Amino acid sequence: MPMPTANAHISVRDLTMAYDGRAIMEGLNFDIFRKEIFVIMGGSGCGKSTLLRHLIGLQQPASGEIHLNGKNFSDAPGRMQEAMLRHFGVMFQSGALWSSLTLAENVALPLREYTRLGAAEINEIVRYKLALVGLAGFEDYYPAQISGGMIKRASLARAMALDPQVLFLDEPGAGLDPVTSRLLDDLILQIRDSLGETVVIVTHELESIYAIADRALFLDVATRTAGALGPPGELRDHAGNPRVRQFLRRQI
Amino acid sequence: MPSLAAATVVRFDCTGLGRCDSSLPAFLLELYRLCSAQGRTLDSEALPDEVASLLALAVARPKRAEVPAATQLAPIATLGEPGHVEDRVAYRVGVCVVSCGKSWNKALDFIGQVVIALGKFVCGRARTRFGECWQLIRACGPDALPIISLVSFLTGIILAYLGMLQMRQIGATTFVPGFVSLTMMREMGVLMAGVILCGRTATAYAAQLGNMQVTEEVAAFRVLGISPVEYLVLPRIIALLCVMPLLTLYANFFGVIGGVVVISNMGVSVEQCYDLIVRTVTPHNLASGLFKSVVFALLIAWAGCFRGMVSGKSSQAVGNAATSAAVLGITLLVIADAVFAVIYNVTNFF
Repeated sequence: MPMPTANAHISVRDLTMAYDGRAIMEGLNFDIFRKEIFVIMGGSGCGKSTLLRHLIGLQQPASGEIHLNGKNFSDAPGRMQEAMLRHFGVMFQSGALWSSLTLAENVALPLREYTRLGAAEINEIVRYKLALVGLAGFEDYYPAQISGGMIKRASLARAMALDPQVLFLDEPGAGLDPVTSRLLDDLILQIRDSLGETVVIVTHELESIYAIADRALFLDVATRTAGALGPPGELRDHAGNPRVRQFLRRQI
Repeated sequence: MPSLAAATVVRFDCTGLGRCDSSLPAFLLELYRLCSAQGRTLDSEALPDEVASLLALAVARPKRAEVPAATQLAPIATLGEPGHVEDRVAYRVGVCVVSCGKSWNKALDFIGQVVIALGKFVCGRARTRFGECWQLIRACGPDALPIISLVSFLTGIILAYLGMLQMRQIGATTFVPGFVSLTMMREMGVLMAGVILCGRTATAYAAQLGNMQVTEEVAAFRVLGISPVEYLVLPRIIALLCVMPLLTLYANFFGVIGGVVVISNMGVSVEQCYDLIVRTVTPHNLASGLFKSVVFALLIAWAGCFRGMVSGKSSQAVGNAATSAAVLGITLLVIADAVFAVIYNVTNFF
């Protein structure tokens, strides 16, 4: 198995993903570098979200390895993997805010669990994180009382609560109107630029991909492996795989 | 489908055709498939334009990359054509055994996780929200009091009535107050409370946790490195452990009251009843029911949480999880009660 690249933040080596013994993607090899916005793209049902679930440890690879900062993440023993997970912030496609908690409590929970900060300091950080995503004043709202776009932003605030090294975002623009989606893209760019976090995004929204991605990985459902990897503009014009060009040009 | 005899081209005569609903294109699609299979041509020339275009749309192959069948990583031995395999009894039995094995694995895995979480709780190292316990206690305790009062009161009435009918024949009605109170305290009080909590609380736990699976709230705990078992399951188990013995006492009390109401109307006075009950019931009898209630609480909480945590990610799956939590909970209660009966009898413990 090839070694992880020395300066890569996340390295994926010979990854095979499977559901019930059936492979859905095989032989994935790629690196994600620090502070880049890395997009995982592909058609519906190609395994983008599954790949994300592997990267964040929710699913175990059928074979292959995932390395974080050069350390094997996928085969790490439970407690070590838990410690590594603390470097991650995850925003789920549905937001996945804890519905019995207010927005402030949602953001505060990771802080209460993993820091020794006092209640007043946690409160300050919570207000700051919610303000970062434009939700100042909504601290005491429950997830059921706010809109879809606000849920996504609150989920982003919770993902950023512990100042993670890597932010994973699953379809951030899905179900949002174009303007809200664009605002979320801008927010992601600002967060990366100001906080210096590595951002991994799963999406198939072309506008978002062109607007924010440094590099994009195309998962090819026809060959069940990586179709292409590179800056999206380059892939659109020069990708060897015709399906990648079709996807990025919205051609049939 | 009518026989097409020797015709090679099928044409339509649409004169007199007015409005049509989806049944016409649906029929045409079936006809098209039949014709294709038999090498005949379907001439859609005479069809109304909108029907012809709908048919063309239905039979068109999507211009997208065909999704290849996924590779089987661990091939299962194939027994001829897949369609035929699924009809065979041996295949269905095999699938059933494999799925039973898988669910046993899941159940054992979950028991292990719960035991570890309880161990951590006892050692004071569990990472959980004790604040949530109060809300859960309120939901499964005080809110269940009216229904428990009714059911146990009626159970007491039934027991007393049956007892009086039988005992009156041999003139031993003075045994009935003791019989009713013993039965309530050793068996029926705890069982009634348990069955009601299975219906109210185990199903609620399964639905709550199942819904949290659907909305990925459980996954959100996992990616934070927080064990969902410690954070979500443990408070529910603790809540039921706190509430169940109290509800059992409450059910015992109302059952005995129900019994006394019947007995006092059938020839034994309330004062006599009181004397007979006090003379018959020992603290051991009360303790045997309370001890069971602790075990039942664990079983009910486990059944509800287990079904919720292994629930699928659809609304139907959440519904199934709630139903199966009640069924599993009640089954476990009855099995455990039988085991207790044998243990108490063999050890003469209570």
